[in-house]
Amino acid sequence: MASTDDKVILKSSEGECFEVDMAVASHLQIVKSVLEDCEGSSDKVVSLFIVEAKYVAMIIEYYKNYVELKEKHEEGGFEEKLKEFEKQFLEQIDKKELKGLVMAVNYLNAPALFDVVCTAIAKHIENKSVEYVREYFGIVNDFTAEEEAQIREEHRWAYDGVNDD
Amino acid sequence: MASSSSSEVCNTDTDKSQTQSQSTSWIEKLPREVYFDVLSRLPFSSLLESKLVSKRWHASVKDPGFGNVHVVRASENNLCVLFFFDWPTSKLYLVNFDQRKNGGALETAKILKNPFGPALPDFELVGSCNGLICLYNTESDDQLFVYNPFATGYRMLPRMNTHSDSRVSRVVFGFGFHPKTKEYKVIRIVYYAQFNYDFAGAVPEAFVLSFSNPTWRNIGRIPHMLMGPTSEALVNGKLHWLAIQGETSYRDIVSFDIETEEFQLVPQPDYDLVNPRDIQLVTLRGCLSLVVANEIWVTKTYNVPASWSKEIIIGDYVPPSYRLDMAPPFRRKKNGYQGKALRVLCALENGEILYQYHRRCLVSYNPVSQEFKDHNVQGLPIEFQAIVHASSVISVNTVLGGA
Repeated sequence: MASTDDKVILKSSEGECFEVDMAVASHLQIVKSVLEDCEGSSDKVVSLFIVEAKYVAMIIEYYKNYVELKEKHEEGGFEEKLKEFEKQFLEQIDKKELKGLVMAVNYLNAPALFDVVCTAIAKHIENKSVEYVREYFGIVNDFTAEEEAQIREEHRWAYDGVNDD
Repeated sequence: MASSSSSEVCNTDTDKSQTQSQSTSWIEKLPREVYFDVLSRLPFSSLLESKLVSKRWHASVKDPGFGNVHVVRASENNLCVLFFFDWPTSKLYLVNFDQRKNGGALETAKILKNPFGPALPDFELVGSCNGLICLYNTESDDQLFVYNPFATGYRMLPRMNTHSDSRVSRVVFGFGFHPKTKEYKVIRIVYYAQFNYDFAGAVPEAFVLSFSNPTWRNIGRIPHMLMGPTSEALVNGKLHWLAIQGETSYRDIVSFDIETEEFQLVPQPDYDLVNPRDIQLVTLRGCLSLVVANEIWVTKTYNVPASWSKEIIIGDYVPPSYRLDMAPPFRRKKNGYQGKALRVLCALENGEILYQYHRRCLVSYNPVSQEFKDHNVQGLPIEFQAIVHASSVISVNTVLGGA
């Protein structure tokens, strides 16, 4: 085995292997608990059965930067630098990948990236028109006109005699 | 995966068979907790608007499980201010406070509909908790009413029988939630008029109503003279009031644990109180705080006397929008009222302190730059009592038992 003590091998659903620093892999709670369960064993390979190689690579990229930035900006400024990186990171991810990534991150239980991805998805709903949301997520409007009017009434209900604007 | 998750998402009042038959998008097929997490990040107005996307989406927003996930995050993200005004008739105004807009901006005030109609023509405010608003009717034995303006359902709490032969002089309220037991409770402390011939009725009594089993329980006598009309601070599942301390002009801080239903004296700082009326309790960033005139004392570690520190002193400032004219007539309040000149509401994300000035203006103060910002909110009445409100989608019907 090529890996030293502070390395671990993550195996994607296709069987592709990624050698990762423990400092990076330990951010994935599922990997952490698998390794804790088989402590003492020389075999440091963790199979991520349902996660495709593409997403394993993305997640490693995120946490590699996370760990590096944290080290580099120990004195302060880590959060701003991380925000900058997260912005770039999200720019290269398309809609389809966002979906795959959120499933993978949820499965691996990686809180920081989960937060980033869920916020990114929410940004596609926030202050967007209902029509945009339907189109972006490929949702078919299954309301009848009457039902739609009724729901609009539901939140108009909250206010007394005011306009919708 | 897709078929199993689809049944999880829609366990609400919407027609199930209809909802499940629709083809759905990946976002609606995400595991329930992930989907709820995404939705809970939306600003409240976007969340309400998004109910129109699809039936499944609509059902999710109305799901009690989602309501609970959302409320935890909403208290951090969605700050609203509720304004109560009682002249000539009682009205509630709600204003959304967008903290992300430069320095924080308050939107136009909107009047909330009174769903109780003729049953509650005039009311006073008990409090707001997790998006639920609790009101009471002074004209009708202080009967209580609970609703969430953004969720269906509104409920009248059962009537309560006090000592029939004693006259009630005033009532002090509290409305809160315990994060551990997830239980909402209303407490009502009844002070009886003291007559020479009526010693029996003179001892104040406390009555509690749990939402899970909504009947009034007498939990016994209470040895504190609480200042009303209602609790101003909920910290760690405990409601807090100021109480008159014997013959002195000082005040005690009394807590009521929503889980154990016990009263306790809370240690307090060593402050100078010039005017006994000029004192207030408030929750700032989750910490119990005491405002004495213009000084803000904060206790970082609850119940530890040494952890009180004087953190902020608000300077002298008269907001330009402050006007003394057009005063409504003086109204006597049976249960008293929290009439402090400078009443602190909350701490904002940017570190500023939001407070109301003489029931007329809303101001924020930046303790670092020592600058003041006058928040001119369109549509507000001349005079008001402001409290902080976290909009939620929790329906009173799901948290309050009984029919």
